[in-house]
Amino acid sequence: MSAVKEMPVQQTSERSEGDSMLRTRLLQGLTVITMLAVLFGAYVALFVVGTDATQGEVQRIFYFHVSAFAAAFIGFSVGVVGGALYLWKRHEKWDALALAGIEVGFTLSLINLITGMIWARPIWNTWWTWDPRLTSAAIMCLTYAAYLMLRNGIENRELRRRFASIYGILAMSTVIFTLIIIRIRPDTIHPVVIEPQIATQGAATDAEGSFTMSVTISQTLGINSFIWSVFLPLTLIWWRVRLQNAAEHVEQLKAKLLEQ
Amino acid sequence: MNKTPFWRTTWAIMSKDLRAELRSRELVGAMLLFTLLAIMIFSFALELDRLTREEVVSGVLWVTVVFASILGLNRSMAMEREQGNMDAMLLAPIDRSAIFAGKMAGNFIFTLVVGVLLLPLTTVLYNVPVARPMLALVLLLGIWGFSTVGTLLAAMTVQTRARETLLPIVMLPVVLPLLLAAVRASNGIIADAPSEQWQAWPQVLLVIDVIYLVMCLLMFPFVVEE
Amino acid sequence: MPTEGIPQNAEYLYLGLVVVFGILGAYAASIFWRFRNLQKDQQLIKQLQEEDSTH
Repeated sequence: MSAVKEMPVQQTSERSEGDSMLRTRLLQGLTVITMLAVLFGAYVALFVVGTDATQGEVQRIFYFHVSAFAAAFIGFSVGVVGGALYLWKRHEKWDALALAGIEVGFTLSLINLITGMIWARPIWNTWWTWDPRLTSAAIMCLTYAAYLMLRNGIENRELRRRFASIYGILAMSTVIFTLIIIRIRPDTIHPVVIEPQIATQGAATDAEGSFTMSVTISQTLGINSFIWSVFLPLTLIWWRVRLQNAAEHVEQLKAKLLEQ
Repeated sequence: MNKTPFWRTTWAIMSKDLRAELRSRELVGAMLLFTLLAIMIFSFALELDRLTREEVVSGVLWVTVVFASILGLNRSMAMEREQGNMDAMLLAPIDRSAIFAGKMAGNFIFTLVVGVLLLPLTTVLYNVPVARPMLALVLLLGIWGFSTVGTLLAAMTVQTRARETLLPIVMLPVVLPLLLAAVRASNGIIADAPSEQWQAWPQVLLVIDVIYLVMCLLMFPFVVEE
Repeated sequence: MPTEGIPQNAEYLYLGLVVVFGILGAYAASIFWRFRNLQKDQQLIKQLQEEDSTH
């Protein structure tokens, strides 16, 4: 059983030199493209789209806030897919993918949470309020912090991968919960951004923080969300998977050294 | 290999846990004492007057139940590990998911006993009439969900280094949706609100329960494989 | 551009940008540093192996 599991690892290390060079070049190119794309999105958000009349400059944070959540959602979804594939195939590369997805998702959800707080300070006059949406987003972050903690708490590597995969799948429920809580808890003061805007278009903005979305605003939001949820997770997850592979490699070398 | 049927295995494991508990009474006893302490501490810490008591009682109830269930889950899984019973069950020709169902049923019954006893206790101590049949139903649905997720996660954390400390950390965020629906339903019931205002919440609870049960039944075999 | 009536809160936008790119940069840096540490480890292991084989 264990021999079967170790086979593919040897294959990876024996992968032809040219192939790995090509991959490195590809990843480097992708990294540059991602950086340019993110900067382009930021440029549109900061200089092209007009200032919101009721909220002022701070409304521009929203383009990053929403995009970060979209990107985090992709990261966590990769965590679920990787976890399920690991449980099915038992190849450690799937666990590396799940870990990478969740770590990236966690980082991006931190951005989402903190930018939300910074936006709330001038608009709601408080950094934090125990609003259902905010609370569930914070709990979502904590769930993934618990995921990373669970990983650290298990020394047996096979057990760690297995349990992490299971918890990664289970943790997705908090992400879905955060997404749907606006529907089931209508008392939230968090603006509903991703919803058909027909009803609110042209309607008066209410003081609580929801705002009308003009076409340019939703376009900017779309551009940024697209860039953030496609390029950013892809690049970061790829780097993180590479790091994980390198770490596994070094672990194996260490184990070999100790055996001697 | 002939396997013992699912339900017979489940029943056997559950009745083993119940019988052990009837003899030692340590689990339910500890949980009950804990809930008693918890609701008293809440009462002191929040300095509750009559009006606030009515407002916060469902929150107090549910937080107490969740922590009591964590207490029970840790103990029940640690017991299986310490005495090598888990390994024996894994060697037996039985369905792995039946082990889950049996352990979960045991945990469910213990926590439900504590929860149901908590209702009259809270009624007396908080002077809020919470001992109602509808609330007991919500309690049943909520505890069902806690024991499902809790049994799966406790089976995992019991194999880690941090053990008891890790279970609340990994379990609380995942049961949050259950907790929210349960508190909302209980609030409506305690406030004597018309049923159409809160009846969606027990339904939400039921849906989450079913989803978690299916997920946990499917994933438990991965937790205990060896 | 008429500015009256529009809340003046650009400083929060700047703070937000610092956070967005700060966290992204910190994560990228952490991946980079972990790579560096691994490379150091690997070199150390190689060194040890060579010492072993010479003895």
